[in-house]
Amino acid sequence: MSDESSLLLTRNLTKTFGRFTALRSLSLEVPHGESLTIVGRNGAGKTTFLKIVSSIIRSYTGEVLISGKNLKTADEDTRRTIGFVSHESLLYKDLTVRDNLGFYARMYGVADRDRRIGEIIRRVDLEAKTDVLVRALSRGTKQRLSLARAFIHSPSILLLDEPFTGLDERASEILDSLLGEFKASGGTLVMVTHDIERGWRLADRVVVFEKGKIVHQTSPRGSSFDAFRNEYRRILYD
Amino acid sequence: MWRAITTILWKDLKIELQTKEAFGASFVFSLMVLVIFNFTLDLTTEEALKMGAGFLWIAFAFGGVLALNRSFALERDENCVQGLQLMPVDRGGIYLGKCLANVIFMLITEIILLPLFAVFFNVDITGRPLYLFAVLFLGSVGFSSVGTLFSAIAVHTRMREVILPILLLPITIPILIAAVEATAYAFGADTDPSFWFRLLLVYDVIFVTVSFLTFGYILQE
Amino acid sequence: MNTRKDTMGTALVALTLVAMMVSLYMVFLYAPREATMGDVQRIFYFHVPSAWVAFFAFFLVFVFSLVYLARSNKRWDTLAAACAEIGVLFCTLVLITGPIWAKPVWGVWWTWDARLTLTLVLWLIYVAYLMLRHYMTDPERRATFAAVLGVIGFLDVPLVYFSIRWWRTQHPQPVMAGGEGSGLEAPMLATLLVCIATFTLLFFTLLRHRLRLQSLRDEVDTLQDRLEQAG
Repeated sequence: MSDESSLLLTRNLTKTFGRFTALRSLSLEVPHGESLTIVGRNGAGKTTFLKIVSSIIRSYTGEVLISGKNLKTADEDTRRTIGFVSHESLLYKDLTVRDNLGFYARMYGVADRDRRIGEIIRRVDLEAKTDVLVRALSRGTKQRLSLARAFIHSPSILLLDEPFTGLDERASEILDSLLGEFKASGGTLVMVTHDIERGWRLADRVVVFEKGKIVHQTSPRGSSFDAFRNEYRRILYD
Repeated sequence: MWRAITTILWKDLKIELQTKEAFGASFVFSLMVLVIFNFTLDLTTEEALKMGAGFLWIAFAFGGVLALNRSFALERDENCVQGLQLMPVDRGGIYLGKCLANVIFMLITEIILLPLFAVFFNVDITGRPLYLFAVLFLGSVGFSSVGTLFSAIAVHTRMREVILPILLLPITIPILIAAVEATAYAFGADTDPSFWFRLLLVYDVIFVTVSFLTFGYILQE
Repeated sequence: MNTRKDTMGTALVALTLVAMMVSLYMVFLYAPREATMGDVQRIFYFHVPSAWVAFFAFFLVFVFSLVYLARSNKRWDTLAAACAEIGVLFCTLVLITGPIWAKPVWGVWWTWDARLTLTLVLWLIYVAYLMLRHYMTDPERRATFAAVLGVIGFLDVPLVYFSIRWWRTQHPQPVMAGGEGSGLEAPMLATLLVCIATFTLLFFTLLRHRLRLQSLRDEVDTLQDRLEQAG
């Protein structure tokens, strides 16, 4: 395992919540530019894994390395490369579209802020609502804004937690297209999803979590979706 | 870090300008407390001068709790706290930004309430104005320093905002005592305030520092 | 199953019982009758040691909270919580024995003197600590938040003390004759020290038992988990 070529590396990652062990000594390597999908039952540790890598959860045992640097001591520049798409919107209801993006852009130190904000608003087709309060947005528009929020600082590692859940058609389309662009530009992607078909379609590699460990791993290049789905069912219902 | 502080401050001020929730609630509540004091305590002017500083700070404290509650309640919506947790900034900077915003909200309420207090209770508050501003500032900083930290704690508990006053008020007793005594001096009382101002300063320094250092523990999952 | 004999615990209990009997003898038979206050003054031998133990307990909460924040080992959190509980217990004793002593001696139930008021504020702070623990369900978060509270609460103590003391000089209450430390003859001092030692032993006994109780609870929880997973 060479540290330099992998963008994300975890070694013996263990996390317990009281009596419950969410992750057991989990080691995973994601090379630069790979799209990884993580599937598994509820409680298998998928979301916990994502939360640790995105530094939402900061106490755990084991190592997480981003571009070879330990996440716990990494500087702002390294941590700035991580983006997170959540199924929650993370938006402030009482700020406008522009101000919400402005807030996140400022906190992430985005260069040439106003231009970038304008750019991303156009990209998610929200130009007409630029100065509207989030409170007054429809659900679909809010979802598109949330995507804009995730991409505004141009991350090179993208973590997605059930990103397609509850998205309307328009937002789904936009997310698909944003992800396509992201992968084409060499970004590294880690997505947690229950939608195994979509996850399979988007991935270079699929990994199955069960009880805090990796129990199966396969690649869409090498095998068929049906074979994977059968194996997955076998794991889940055994 | 500086960027984090100013950005959070900007955000909280903008939200407050939009909703006026913190100011509205704390101002109205503080005013109510003063009015109720009047009805329950029928004071002579002389008594009011002696006890006025006390009423004022009780009103400020109770109003302040409401404003502090809102400080993190607004982050609970849509799980914006997670947005803060994701950011690559020093979490202490987030604390300072929020604390500063809370100090400003408290000061605004206090400045508007003061003339009303002077009118209602017939108290001359112009004794030593410079000292008055100093007390208001130092007192509000002290109250908000621990208050902002505890507001973050309260938002994550089952009792939510209800537990904030229970946690906060005992801890802020030193600063309330000091603020009341120093305010009495600022109104023109003939006492020696040097101890109180020193206490205010020491309290502020200690608790802003400790809250700054421990905020990271509160903001994590 | 943890059924091995707890020799250390039993020895501690035995030692505490002996110390208590010695103390009781000294308090009621050995120590002389106080000149101005009479026998009621003997409450002093329970009042002061309780205050000492409460303060000591809260100091330990502070220390264990700091260590927990540094190490994140559950053991320190359990210790902090246990010390807080016992601290509040003894604090309550101080607040009860205070008025019982004050009424016959000074004619009032309560005086806002520095020490008693400080105890009341401490009681409020650490009851709030216990309430916070009670209203949080996530064990790790609870431990972290409680630890932060434990540190802040104790740092506040000197500030509370000085602010109250200075406030008292500015707003003098009627002077109470015969303060606690005034005129302690040798046998009284000896009795007091023995009582302090006894109460400290009592503290450690209670602490040990509280910790054992917690570890038994944890065992039950683990067994329960295993049962659920198997069934």
